[in-house]
This record gives sequence, structure tokens and C-alpha cells, in this order.
Amino acid sequence: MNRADMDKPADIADVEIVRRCLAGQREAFAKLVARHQRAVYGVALRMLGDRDQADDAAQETFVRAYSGLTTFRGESSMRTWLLRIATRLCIDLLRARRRRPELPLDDGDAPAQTEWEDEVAGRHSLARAIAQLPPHYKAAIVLRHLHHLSYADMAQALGLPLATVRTHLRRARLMLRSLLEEGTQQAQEVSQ
Amino acid sequence: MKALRRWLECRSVRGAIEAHVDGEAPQWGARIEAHLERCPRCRVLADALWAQARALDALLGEEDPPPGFVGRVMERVEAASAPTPTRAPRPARRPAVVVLTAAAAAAITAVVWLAAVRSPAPPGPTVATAPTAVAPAPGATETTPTPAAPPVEQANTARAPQPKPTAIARGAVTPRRTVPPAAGRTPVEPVEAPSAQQYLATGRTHEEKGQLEEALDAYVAARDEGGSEMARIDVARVYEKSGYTAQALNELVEVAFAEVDDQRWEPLTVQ
Repeated sequence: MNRADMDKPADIADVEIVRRCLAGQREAFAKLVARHQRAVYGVALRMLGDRDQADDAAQETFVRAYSGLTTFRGESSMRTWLLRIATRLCIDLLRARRRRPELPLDDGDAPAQTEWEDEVAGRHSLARAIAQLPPHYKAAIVLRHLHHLSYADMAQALGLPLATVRTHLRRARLMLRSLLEEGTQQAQEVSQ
Repeated sequence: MKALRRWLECRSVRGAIEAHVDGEAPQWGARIEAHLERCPRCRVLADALWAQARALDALLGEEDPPPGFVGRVMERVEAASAPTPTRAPRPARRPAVVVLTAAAAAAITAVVWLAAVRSPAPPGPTVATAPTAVAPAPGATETTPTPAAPPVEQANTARAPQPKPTAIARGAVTPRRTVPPAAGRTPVEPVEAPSAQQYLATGRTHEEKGQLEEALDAYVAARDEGGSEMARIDVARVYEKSGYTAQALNELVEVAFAEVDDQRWEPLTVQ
């Protein structure tokens, strides 16, 4: 889904599914889950840095969405609405955890091929740096670069003023750069 | 004046470069691109932002959840929607327990009260100790403990009105004040630092002009942020590095902002 799609209100299929759910057809909700599971799980995984916790948080997001379907008015897209629930849930979980996620956001356990070693190492460094960001900064990075939300949609998803979202995104990027530079410096010191 | 004008143009554009890279400032696209063509410093910034965005886009892709995800969600939805109440009703307390609890609470209250009467608090502003030591009344529900209020003096200190950051308005007259030095760090003021007038009269090398722009950035940032710790450290570092004094920078900023009236180099606004 590109950025332009994010600005649209809820599409007809989502609205119809919500209508059927509210009419008592609970099984219709499964279609909604199937449509948006990748987006919701992606946010949870990138924010929490742990697949099991992300699985649980994504499930919880949909459970909360189901119980709050009556509050969905279709002014924003269903995807943005779900991402807002997921993001806030993950921010709460990160605050409760009160420690940094330990797992890097890697691509799996497959060994890196020689020609890709540098790239994979760089991706791991970036993933570790993202994991160290404060919850709101992490949310800004994930919503922007995973889901390509516009500033306006990010503000809606995070429930924050647009100017605040811009500030969070800018500071998150600056912090990422700083963390990556620190990591590079430490690696050089170790190699020496 | 070229360096000052370039600095003014940078300043007007720089805040919108990130939004431009994000595709969120289409109204300024041509102007920003034109500036990037002739400003290596801003070009470096824009390129770094592009590279970072590309790296993040590459890293953060959507992922499939574990198999059976939809089924597990629906199981939880079914469980949450089941007719049985999710919370078991709280059993009523037995009368004997209620009586004992009330008696214990009353006894604690009495002990605290007697202790307070026998040893009155010393005179003085010990505001913080009074309300928090009182035992809860019988039957009172448990609430989240709230931190004791700070002593009056401390509270006043903590809530002292901070100077509001003053954005530099177009043509605003810069007050003749210098940025206060960071705690424990006194910025080095070179004895023979160039003044603003010396700079304007004699001109400087290109390399030194680069340092001047950096010094002006740090100086204005420190002033706009109301003298935050980071900004003060930053500006102190720049003083040491560039050799410009706060006084000289202050004068140069005044000269530069006098240009704003003519050149209309207001910072670009994004949304």
C-alpha cells in the first residue's frame, strides 16, 4: 500500500466487514484480521524486537479492535486505526518492560553469505540501534519506514500533534545516526 | 556579506530539508533543490537523510505472522465475547473480617494520632510530611500512592517560570546578551578574536567562513532554545574551535537579520 492510499478513509471492503461484525457476524472479523495481519504484526515485531511478544501483541491488538469496533467511524483507514491501537499497545509494553529489547531485528538465523556480509552486518547494527530508541521515537520510525505513513497519518495513528510527530521523527533519526556512529567507533576500537 | 547571506538562506531552508526528503514539502521542492545545488553543506545533510531513509526502508519490511495467526486471534475474540463474565464477582467479605479490619485500621489511626499529639512537629516549613502519614480510613479503597508534595521552596524552584524560547522574528533586534556558559565549562574567549566589523571589513578565507556559519548556527540555536545545556555546550565548543566571541557572533547575527527584511529569508514552514 502506498502513501497515497493511507490518506483515504476506510475502504469499502473494510467498512462492509465492520458492518457485518456489528450485525453479529463474528466470523467476518477473520477477514479483517487476514487483511491487516502483516501490517499489525510488522509494527509489533519492529517495536518489541521479539517474535513471540509481537505475536501476542498483534493478537491483542485485534482483540481490542474487535471490542472497540463501534468506535470505528471510518474517518481514517482501518489500517491506520489498527496501527494506532498496535502502536499504543507496544509503547505501553515497552514502558512496562523498562529495559531495552535484547533481540536484534534480524532476518532470520540463516548464515550470511560472504558477498552480503557487510550489508547484513549493517542491517543488524541498524536494527540494534532502532531497538535502543525510546518508545515514541521507535514508533515514529516504524510507522514512517515500515508503513510509509504521511506525517498527518502518523499524527493520527500516534494521537499526537503533527509538529510533535515531526520532532519525534527528526530526533529519532538523529539518535539513530549517533548510535550507529558509536557502534562503528566501538567496533574499530575492538578490532585494534 | 556573502557568507552571511548564504547562512541566512541555509537557515531558511534547512528546517524543511527533512520534510522535502520525506516528500512532505512539495510546495518548497524547487526552492530547496535550487539551494541544494549551490550549498555543499545542505547537500551533505540531504544526502545523509536520503541514505538513512533508504536503509530504514530496506530494513523495515512487512512480515508474515506465525502460521495460524488468524485462528488464534479468533479464538481470543470468541473467548473475550463469551457470555460468561471475564471477571469473577468479588466474594463478599465475611462480617467478622470486616469488623476486624475496621478495628485494626482504627487502632492504627489512634496510634498515629497519639504519636502526633505527643511529639508535635517542629516549627518550620515541613509541608511534605503532614498528609502522607495518616492511615487510611476504615473501608477506604486502596489507591495508587501519590508522591508527597515537594517542600514549598523546592516546588517553587522546580516550577520557576523558564524563559520562553524566542524564535527570531524577521528583522528582530537581537538583544545584547551573550549565551551563559555551561556549568563547569567556561568557554575560551580568545584574546585576539575577530570582531564582526573586522570580519566584514577584511573578509575571511572560505574555510574560515565555513567555521563562521557553524558558529552562527550554534549561537542562534543556543539563543532560540533558551540556553539549554546541550546548546550551551555546543556553542562553547564552537567558540573554542572557531575563535569567534559571543559578542562578535551577536553583532553578526544582527547584521544578518537586518538582511532578512530585504531578502525575505524567513524559515520555510511545512504544514
